[in-house]
Amino acid sequence: MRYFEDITVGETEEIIGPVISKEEVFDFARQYDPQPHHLDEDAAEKSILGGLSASGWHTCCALIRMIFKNSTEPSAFLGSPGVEEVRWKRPVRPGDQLNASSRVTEARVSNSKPFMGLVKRHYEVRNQSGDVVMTMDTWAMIARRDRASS
Amino acid sequence: MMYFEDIPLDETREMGSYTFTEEEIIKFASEWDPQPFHTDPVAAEESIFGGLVASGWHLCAIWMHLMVTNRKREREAGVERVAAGVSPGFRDLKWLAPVRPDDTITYHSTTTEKVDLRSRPEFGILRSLNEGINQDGVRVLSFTGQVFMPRKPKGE
Repeated sequence: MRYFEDITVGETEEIIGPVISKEEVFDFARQYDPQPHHLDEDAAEKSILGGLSASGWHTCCALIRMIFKNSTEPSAFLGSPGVEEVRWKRPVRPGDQLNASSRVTEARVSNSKPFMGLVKRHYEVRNQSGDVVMTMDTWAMIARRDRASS
Repeated sequence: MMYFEDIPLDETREMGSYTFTEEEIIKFASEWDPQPFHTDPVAAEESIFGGLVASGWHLCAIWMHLMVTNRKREREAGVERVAAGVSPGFRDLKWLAPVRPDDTITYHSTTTEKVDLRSRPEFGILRSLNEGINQDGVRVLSFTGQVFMPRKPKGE
């Protein structure tokens, strides 16, 4: 388990992700984003995405799942105050295998809650061809080692 | 038909409300955001939230569903917004306060900005401020969303 003190600006990590199946694309879209370009192959062909694609929120959730299930260096994560920016750069197609890379871009102790630090990371999610499909700049609240017991 | 040019700025629409049950909070988080404070009511008591809270991504997923439901309702009422429903991303997403089991969140969307696109002159980007407010009037969610919208074809 890595605490705030163990994390340095500039450090990177590669995270292996899953194949996004067509069933998963349909399942997420039916529940949360029931638009034709995520659910209907004929309508999707005619859309500006030129074919069936995963909901962008699905790709966000897939990244979060990847971070918490597949990261080999988990942090003492306490929660997140939010996300500065997400860019959906290319469609995620059924059958795509996603991987992520992360880079720590900022780290500081919280002023209001000194038992934790705030860490900003830049994530890039790539498909099996190496194309970046999404970037995310997000903040995490990470416990400080010396305050972890308080 | 409403095109990019027809959308008024500073217009607020209520998207609807949603009650987050404990069962759904745990189900969503178990699949997508498996943190103890989202999935385990007992372990969550030890977290900085002091109890089970919904995943922030769950709040966003429900926002999306309400947005799609609203577009469908408007279409059926004859207000055809021709939004392609495709987005380049979002900014400034803030999870401002915890959402706990049985909290009811009401979502609003306010149009804030129109951006011209040099690379795709047939589209513009419409930006909106999206907010979620709980039953006590506390703001729990805020983000700036973006959507590609077709411009009026020449001659219309």
